[in-house]
Amino acid sequence: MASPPPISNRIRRLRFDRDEMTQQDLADRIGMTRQTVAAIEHNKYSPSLEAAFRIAEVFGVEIGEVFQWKAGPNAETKP
Amino acid sequence: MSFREKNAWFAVLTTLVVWGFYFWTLSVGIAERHLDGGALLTLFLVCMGITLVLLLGLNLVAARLARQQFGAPEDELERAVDARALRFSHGLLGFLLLGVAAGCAWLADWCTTAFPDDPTGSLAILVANAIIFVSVLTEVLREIIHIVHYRRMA
Repeated sequence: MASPPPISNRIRRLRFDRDEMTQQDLADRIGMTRQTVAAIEHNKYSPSLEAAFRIAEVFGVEIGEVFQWKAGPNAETKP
Repeated sequence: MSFREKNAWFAVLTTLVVWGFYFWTLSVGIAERHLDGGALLTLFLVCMGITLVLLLGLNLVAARLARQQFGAPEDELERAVDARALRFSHGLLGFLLLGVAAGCAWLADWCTTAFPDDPTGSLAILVANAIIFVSVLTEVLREIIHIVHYRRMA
């Protein structure tokens, strides 16, 4: 099984801060399924840049407040 | 379970049941050394119809129960999973079709001894069904890949 992407996110926290916004609500607002939002939230899937911006837009924050790069500068990169 | 995963399960189960019956009937004909092309063609069309009706019906019911729009566009994760499954199944289909083509010479020899009354007709039926078999097989594998990906993401 592939290792999880070196990206963490604060989607759960941000949903909590928005009156416990549900995964379904977030999914509806960014045009995805609830399962995809769950996969992103649990770090099993890295969204496209566009989806990441859409998520940040829903929460009204910068993209860096939603997603954080965890790997160091010397991390191995995929071709 | 997502709507797309349910679709994949329906496709796998429907295909295994309906086309399992079709190929079982074909294998009985081969074992008895009697292939009726007309009857097989009719059975093929019936199986196609049943598959179509079952899949449409099951997916409509699933969409209604999930209060989801039938035929809603896939999101990016679903597209990525589909692209991966399609890449694998198309590659495998090409490889298996080459195998069928390569096996035709051997099959022609075998048909002359197994079906001495009509070796050419039997060969045509067997080759056509070998192509159908590899198509069905790769389609089932494609849906299984969908299921595996969705299970891993769940």
